[in-house]
Amino acid sequence: MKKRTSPMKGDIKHLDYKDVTLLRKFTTYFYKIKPRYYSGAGLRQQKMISQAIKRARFMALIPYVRS
Amino acid sequence: MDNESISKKYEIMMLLSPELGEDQAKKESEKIEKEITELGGAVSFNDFWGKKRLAYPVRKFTEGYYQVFLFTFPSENLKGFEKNLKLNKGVLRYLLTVTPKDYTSIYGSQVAINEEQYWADRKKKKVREPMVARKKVFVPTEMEHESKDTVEERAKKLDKILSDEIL
Repeated sequence: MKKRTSPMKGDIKHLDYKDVTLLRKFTTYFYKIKPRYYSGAGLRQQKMISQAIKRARFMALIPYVRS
Repeated sequence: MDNESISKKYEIMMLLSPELGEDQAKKESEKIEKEITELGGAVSFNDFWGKKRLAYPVRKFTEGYYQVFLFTFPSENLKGFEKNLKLNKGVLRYLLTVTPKDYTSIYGSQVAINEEQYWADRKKKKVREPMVARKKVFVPTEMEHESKDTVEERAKKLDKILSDEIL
């Protein structure tokens, strides 16, 4: 896996947990949350990302683990 | 209570049981919408997603109906509202979030993840041009120009240069 620049451009204040296609970019093949050194997100962004992913997981929009 | 009139903006996403059926699920969500207004809230956004496949089984159901509301609600009534939701057997899960300023929700029709398509796209992107094509070949442009000259022209040029030097 290569370090990439973050797909979130500009200063985004909120990330919607319903935006599954965007969230998918921040998860690995097994749906783990990509660490910051891979996703290229800043600290604040990463916190928003992880929060959104966890919410999406709870609502069964994204699986917890690839089965 | 001083804070009695304070009402915040919330978003709720509900996962309704597939046993209800489409019409019943809509009725159920209408009921909940009514309940919100009765408890002093106001619904500003209503989006019924319809039946969706779940990413993993929830209470042994593989499908469910999604319903999203954006609404303002007096915070002191929230506990009672949540309690009712928990008791409601039609609601498998719900997610209540406080929305930030200038928030607009995504429509359910935009939410779709086709896993096979996603990986197909990624594989497409990963196909790179062959390395040879990417290598920069050094093209000596000036040399090319000279080589285009015929032998006679070259001779003329040489003569010119020589004559200049002599002068």
